[in-house]
Amino acid sequence: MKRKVHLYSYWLIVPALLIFGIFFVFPSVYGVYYSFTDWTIGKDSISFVGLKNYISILESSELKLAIYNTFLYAIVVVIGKNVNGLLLALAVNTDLKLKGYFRVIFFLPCVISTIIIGLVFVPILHPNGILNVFLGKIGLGFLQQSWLVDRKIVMFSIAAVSIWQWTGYHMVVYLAGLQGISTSYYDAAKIDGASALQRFRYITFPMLAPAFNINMLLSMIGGLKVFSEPYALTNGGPGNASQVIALEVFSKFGRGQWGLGTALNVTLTIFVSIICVPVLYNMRKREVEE
Amino acid sequence: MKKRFTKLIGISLSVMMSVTGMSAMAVHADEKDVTLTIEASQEIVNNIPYAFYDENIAAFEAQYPNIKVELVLNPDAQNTSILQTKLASGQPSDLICYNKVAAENELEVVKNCVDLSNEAFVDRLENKDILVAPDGNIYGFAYAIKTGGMGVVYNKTLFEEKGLEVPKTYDEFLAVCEALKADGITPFYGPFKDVWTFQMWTSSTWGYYVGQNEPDLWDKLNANEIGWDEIPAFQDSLEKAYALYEDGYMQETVLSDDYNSITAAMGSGEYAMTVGSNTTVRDLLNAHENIVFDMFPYPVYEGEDEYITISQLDAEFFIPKDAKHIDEAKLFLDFMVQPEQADRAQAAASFVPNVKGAKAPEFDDFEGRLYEEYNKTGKTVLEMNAYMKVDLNDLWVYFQDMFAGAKTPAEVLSTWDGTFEELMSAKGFENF
Repeated sequence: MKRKVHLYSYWLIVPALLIFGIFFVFPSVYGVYYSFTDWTIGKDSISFVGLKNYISILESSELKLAIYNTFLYAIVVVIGKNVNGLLLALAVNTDLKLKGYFRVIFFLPCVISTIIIGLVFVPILHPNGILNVFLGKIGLGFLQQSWLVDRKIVMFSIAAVSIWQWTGYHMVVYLAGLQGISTSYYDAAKIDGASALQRFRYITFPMLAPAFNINMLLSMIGGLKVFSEPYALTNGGPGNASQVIALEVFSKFGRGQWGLGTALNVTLTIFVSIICVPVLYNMRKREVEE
Repeated sequence: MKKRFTKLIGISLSVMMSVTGMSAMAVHADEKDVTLTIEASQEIVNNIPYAFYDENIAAFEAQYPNIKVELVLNPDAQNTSILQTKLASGQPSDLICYNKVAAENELEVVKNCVDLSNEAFVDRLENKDILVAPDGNIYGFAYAIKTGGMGVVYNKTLFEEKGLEVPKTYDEFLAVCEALKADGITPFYGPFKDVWTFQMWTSSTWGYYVGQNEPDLWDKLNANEIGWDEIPAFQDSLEKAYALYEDGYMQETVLSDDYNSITAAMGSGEYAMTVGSNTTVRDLLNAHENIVFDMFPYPVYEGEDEYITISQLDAEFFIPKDAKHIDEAKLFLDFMVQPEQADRAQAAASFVPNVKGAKAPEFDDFEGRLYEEYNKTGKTVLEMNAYMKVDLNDLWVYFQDMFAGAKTPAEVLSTWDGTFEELMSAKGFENF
């Protein structure tokens, strides 16, 4: 009987497991426990309150608005970042002369801090800011808006800034996917008389599935966990118009409503898991091996 | 004999070495550097610069070379929760600077801070009564006896050019607004992008209403005997403010403009009035030498024009019970409660010192008038915020909702009533 030989002892993973357990698993599990308590600043004791915090979330119109805004934002940025990222990747994957410069320029915004971008965009998007002045100058005054104040469009404005910032990042992932596709497929398709659209539909798109999956998942998780963009641009305002779940968590923690804040955080984790795990599973099935 | 002598020398040397060693340790202990931390919000430091005057701190450090003073500044919006967390976790700074009544409610100074009633410096205070907490003890020291106040800040030069009088009733106020609007000037500048700015209107007007008409109303609200949406006068004040916006007496961009933009806006001559305090007026006067700015009481309710709103006592310095350097913190307060320090701090900003023997302040025309007309005569009312026991940020957000068109004034109050109940209940107050 052949004995299985392990090169390294399993004991070697104990330190890593311990660190992971102490600094990640334990706080996470404990966090779930606290979401069922009335843990509040200034209180001498913590009591178990069952589902009270979760019921408060469902009953509160503000928290429901934050959940709605989070999903709206996630959908808009997933579409915006991926469509624009793919188009840019296709554009800079051609024989364009300055494609190297374009790649750098498109990628550049995502290395800038979101807070800095917020500071730059707030005056740009002010009702008397550069964007509205520009629109007025070129005869598009009817498009002028209170970008960060009108509660009907404020989430779209925030999403637009985020799309502007992160499209380059997604472009790079798509570009890597595109460059991994052998040109022989395209050559064969051309000989068979396939049009450009058919080549994209039947070669590029399926072969890009891994890059597509990564981009979709990253943008979706990023969209659902959004914090920095609304924090920097509107701080959830005006009023509660651009509140999102993560901002509400931050706000609840800041005001010492730790039990409720933790419940909101657990809710966000559940949302992300429910949406992203099946999406990942389904998308993996259609990945094509080269 | 030789042996005994050697023994004696040995013992003597040991004793000498021990004594030398001990004294060396004592010197070492004396010379040990202590970093005395003082924690406050940026807003407090800006509002009472005399309490953080560099030269006073330098003089203290010169007198006590082993103590270094370090200022810990917190963002305004997070200041309360940071301080509460540090107090709850037993790791506070050595001195905390916080508004008096708010500190009693939000930081629970009676429970968390050192009783200073028997400290020597208390006898050197001009007025120690203003520092007394509800339990009769003194837990903090405030540099100044309260002066100044809040109201409508206005461009006096512009008013004089247009021949306008300071309004004494709400109808007169509307007439002034109409006259200014007809002249192409936006009457009222609303810097309401910052969530805390519009509350100056409500904290003042509601404070006046309650102070003059129903003095026990704050107690009733804090005991859940009445709801916020059951007080018509509160709704009236909100409706009047919102009507100014709806009727075009405020700029359209009220939710895009923040407090810092007041200086440029009011100096441009395009706006005539705004919300603010004596600090706002002082900043405007410093920024625009050729324009005279002044302040008048809110004319929202009948008779309000005679009373200026004062905030709770300016920030006090408290020593947390869990502070690392309580003795050094007491030394700091003892040092500051001296005429020499109070006189020196006048260079930072004029204030009425709460220290016996300190010189009277040199007010400028504006602050002198406020002091003579309101503070000295007692024609002041305490703002609403001084009576609240929970964080009011949610209410301020609802005010923004009102200007964004998401809530009516009535909905602001009814929504706040529910939130107030939740917050009070979470803090364990009875009847909630």
